[in-house]
Amino acid sequence: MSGTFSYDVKTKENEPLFEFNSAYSPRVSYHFNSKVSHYHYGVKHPMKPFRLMLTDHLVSSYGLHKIMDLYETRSATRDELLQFHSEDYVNFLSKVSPENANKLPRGTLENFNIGDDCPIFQNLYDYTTLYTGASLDATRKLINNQSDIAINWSGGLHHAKKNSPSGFCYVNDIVLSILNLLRYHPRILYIDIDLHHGDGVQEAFYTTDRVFTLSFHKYNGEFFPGTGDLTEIGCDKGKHFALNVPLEDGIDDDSYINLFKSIVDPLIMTFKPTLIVQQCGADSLGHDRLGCFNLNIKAHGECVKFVKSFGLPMLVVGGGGYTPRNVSRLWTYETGILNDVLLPEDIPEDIPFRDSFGPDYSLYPMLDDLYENKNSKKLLEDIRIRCLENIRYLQGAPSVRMDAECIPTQDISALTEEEDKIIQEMNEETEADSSNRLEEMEKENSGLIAFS
Amino acid sequence: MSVPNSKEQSLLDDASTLLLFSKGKKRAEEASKIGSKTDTIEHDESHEREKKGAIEMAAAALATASTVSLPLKKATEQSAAEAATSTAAKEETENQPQKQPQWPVPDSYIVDPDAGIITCICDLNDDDGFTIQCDHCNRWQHAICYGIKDIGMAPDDYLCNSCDPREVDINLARKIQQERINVKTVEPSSSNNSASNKNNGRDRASSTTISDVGDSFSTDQDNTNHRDKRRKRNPSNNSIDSKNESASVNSSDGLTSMPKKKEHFLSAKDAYGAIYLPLKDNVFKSDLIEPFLNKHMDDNWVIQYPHKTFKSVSIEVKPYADIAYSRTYPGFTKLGVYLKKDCIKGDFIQEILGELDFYKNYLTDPRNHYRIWGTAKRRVIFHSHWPIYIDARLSGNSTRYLRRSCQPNVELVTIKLQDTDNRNDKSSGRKSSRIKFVLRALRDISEDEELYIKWQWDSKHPILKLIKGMTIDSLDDLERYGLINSVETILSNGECGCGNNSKDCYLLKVKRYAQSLYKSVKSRGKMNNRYKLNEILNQYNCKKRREPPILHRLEEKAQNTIERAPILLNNFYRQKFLNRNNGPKIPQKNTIDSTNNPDDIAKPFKFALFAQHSSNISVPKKNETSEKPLIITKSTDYDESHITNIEELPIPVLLPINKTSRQTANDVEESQSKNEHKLSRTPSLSNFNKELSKEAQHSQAKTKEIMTEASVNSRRESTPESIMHLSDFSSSQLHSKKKLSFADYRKKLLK
Repeated sequence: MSGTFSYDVKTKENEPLFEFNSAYSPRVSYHFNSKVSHYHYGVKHPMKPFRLMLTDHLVSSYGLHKIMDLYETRSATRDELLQFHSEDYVNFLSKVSPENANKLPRGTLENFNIGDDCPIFQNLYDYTTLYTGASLDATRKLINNQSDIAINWSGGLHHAKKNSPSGFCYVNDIVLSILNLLRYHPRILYIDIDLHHGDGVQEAFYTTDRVFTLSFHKYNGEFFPGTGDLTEIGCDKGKHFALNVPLEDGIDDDSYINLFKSIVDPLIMTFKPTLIVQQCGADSLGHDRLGCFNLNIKAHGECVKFVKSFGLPMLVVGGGGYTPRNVSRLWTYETGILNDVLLPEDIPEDIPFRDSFGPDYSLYPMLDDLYENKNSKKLLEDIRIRCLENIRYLQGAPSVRMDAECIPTQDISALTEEEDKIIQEMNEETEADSSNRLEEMEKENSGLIAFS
Repeated sequence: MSVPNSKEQSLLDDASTLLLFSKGKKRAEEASKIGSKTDTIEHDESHEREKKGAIEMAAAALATASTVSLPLKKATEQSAAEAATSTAAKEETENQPQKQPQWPVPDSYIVDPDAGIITCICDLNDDDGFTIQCDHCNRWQHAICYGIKDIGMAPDDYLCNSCDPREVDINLARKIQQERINVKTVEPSSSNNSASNKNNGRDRASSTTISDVGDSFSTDQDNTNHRDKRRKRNPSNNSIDSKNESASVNSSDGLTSMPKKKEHFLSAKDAYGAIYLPLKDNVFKSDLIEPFLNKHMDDNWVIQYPHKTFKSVSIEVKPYADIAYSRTYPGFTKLGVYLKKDCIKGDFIQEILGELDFYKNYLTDPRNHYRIWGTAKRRVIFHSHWPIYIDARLSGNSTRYLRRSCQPNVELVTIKLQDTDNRNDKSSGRKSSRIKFVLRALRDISEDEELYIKWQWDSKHPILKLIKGMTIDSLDDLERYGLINSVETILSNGECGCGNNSKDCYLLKVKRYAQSLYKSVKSRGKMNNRYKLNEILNQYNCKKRREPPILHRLEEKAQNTIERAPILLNNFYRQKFLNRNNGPKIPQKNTIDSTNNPDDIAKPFKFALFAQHSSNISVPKKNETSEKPLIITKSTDYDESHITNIEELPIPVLLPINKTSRQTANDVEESQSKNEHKLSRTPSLSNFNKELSKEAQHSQAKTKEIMTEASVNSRRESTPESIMHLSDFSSSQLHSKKKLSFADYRKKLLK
């Protein structure tokens, strides 16, 4: 509605508060830097950044880029990484390369947990800053209210710790994103539907009540990363502000969705987050190279859809997923879901690497036939009740002081000095000639310009 | 720890009964087992334990401490309780050989360890929340009567006065118990609350082993903790925490010997009682609720209740369907509320407790999904007269398990209790606590019948049309799909009380209709109905116009402006030409009026200004009837779906507006039409793009196309007038300028 046209007070008072059946259509933004898919973890390594390119192709071949705001993101800066990671570790990451790895002092690699899972590969640092940069860009758009749902499929590396990489993750972009979002949002809910426990994020926010971490994962005490039992509920101030849903092998669609809904719904009601960070690790799908669940693409998407239906701003990040074709299918489908769009089942003809999607060339292949479901109904019901018990202890949302001093107003744009300078120069250029006239114009038309 | 005060005590009472509720069934079953098994098994265990030594003990203590600090982990504690009783039993077996002949009581005095019989020197056999079990006769005594003030003081080996006659101050014990009972009866809401209601018919005599006490302490103090948070706002957290810890440490006495079991849950049904906070009185979420109730408590329809306290009909919570029956995991509890006694129409059955808040807050909170549901979620009940809802999702009493049905047999009514004459307890009882929300029978209800309350549909919910007798087919698309979505969502979170085979259930009617729709969806592989529904709804959603993202909106805006501008301009000049012909001396006012033709009504002020301004400039007029300028390049025609690499994707860029010399309005029009002709003549899009890119370096994006067009225009004809008529466009440009990210600037920089 424009400024010149408004209803009188009485009409406004009688407006329906919240209309049944009204649609929720969020603005969706897509953050990606295609360079991130050019890196390689090494032969035989299951993590393939190539999947991001495949995803991106599929997203754009379905035409989804036309209905989203697209952002090509910059790399994260060193300072941004230091918000969470230790200086030693960042220094190490920025300097290490396959060539000089052997020349480092003895014990350095072991110290930083470099090994088979987290190898040193060419331009490692560029890779980490690229995907982190995309996540951070997404948070900035969310904070500036330029976007309601921000997607970064290259992010979501939830295992990385402050001092060391873990489980193919070097920099924990989720923690950095949440830290950035906490500057504006009082309470953030983190939902992790990766096959693996989101230990890095849980650990980072284990003692705070401002971030609730919820993770659905396989757990038997040995499965990587070995954490994520029901008893891990946070400590100190953050007690009861972490929740883990350990599952057995081969959980099927319906059980997973029902369990997800029956936990997330009361949780969101109780915790009242102002923003949800959704990690959409694709390794919880069936037929994943490292997976052991029986989920279909649509079941995974249903969870995202359910979270979206709460109408809260969302940061959607990727995560695991080691069968690239299914990963890209899933994330494309979820991009569609977040845009409220139904994607046709057939993979478009003109997509590069179309052969990857054979032989069925379907967006929704059947993925739920590999494992036996070892989750008994009783086990799931027990887990649900245990989770609800934990949620009960929240007893409403914690209040967070939102004083001016808590919210930085200046540097939310997170532009570096260099960038600032460039923008300033450019603004001067463009403004120099037209600013005077525009000002005059605006003066004359003040009040009218707003008409649309 | 000091003697628990009266409030805590009653809370304790709740919790212990609650605990009993969760255990009652198991206890009965296991009572015999423990009696027989423990003697043999525990003996072995004790041997093993001794071997492993102190380190093991410390580890176990740590483990148990950690479990205890999680007060909800009742399962482990329950097993701990068993372990504790069994250790007691073990000691008994050890002691028995020597002591057996000396017992002053007959063997018949010994009762089942889990019978929970209280036999105390004070002759009062009710549970005060802290009892201790005799190792010999297995009867329970009030710890306080034996001078045991807290768990820390409780001895490991304990015998009651009957088994081990000694000097105990019976009179003092009686006095203490009498005081306790007096306090209880004075308290407005006595122990006869939700927890005990649930417990009706079960063995009322609560029993708590020492570890149970610890257990109930920890849970309870969390309860009080939360309660305090709500009511007093300044809980003494530290003291409570420390109490909590001490309780758990003490209770770990009995637990240390217990090896930690990893997967030991309460059975699902048993645990239901534990997942909400039992309330004694309604909680006000908003501080305005109480004044509201006070103000409105004399409304006409509020029923005056002739007694000072509410007398309820007892109800029972039990599963309405065998949980094992359904094949898949449903994700919600299949529990219903059953009546335990016949009642006739109009009887008040039970009070509904929960958190009260204003209706508006429920609707406006998107988390409640009211947009989709069109009704209250489970365990939320809207008040029918006041703008209030009762939220029992997190706390309440057993009525929270009430189900909804199309054929309800109870309704929610508001009653007002008679004013209490006794003003002594004014401090404890709020005025508004006289208002109760209770269930009233709509018809005669027989014993063991489930209670249902009606669905409370939004006044716009299409299901109301269904109830009026319309068929689903007669609804329009919007309503039909809305209805299906709503009903499917509701049914995925719970069931209608009508049952799965009812023919009169409206929800089921919708569900059946939706199922017929599912059949129409073809799928290659196996496909869950759930996804079919999504497919159907999505297909519908795709047809509906969606709010496009920023780029689209900007684009459309720009397009509209550009399309409209020449028409408006044309009209304007025509008008002006006519005016000139009619009489050149027409005052300015008239020119303003003359612009009020239908086309200009849309933007009267702006174009009035425009007219005013341009009339000041004497412009020679020619070719007024020139052909209408065309814009062939509709931005929406442009397709970029062939671009598969994101790097090639265009990014919108703001183009600078160059200063050019003033031109006459005529030239403006000419140049504009020329420009547009030129554009329209471009043979292909790519050429068009190239051409544009000469002038403006980046020109692929749809939005940008428009922007470039506009900027081309403005470059050519940047007279004040043209700027003026493009003013809202330029403002949108300005607007978009703010939204450009750094990446855009860098791109631009690279050119």
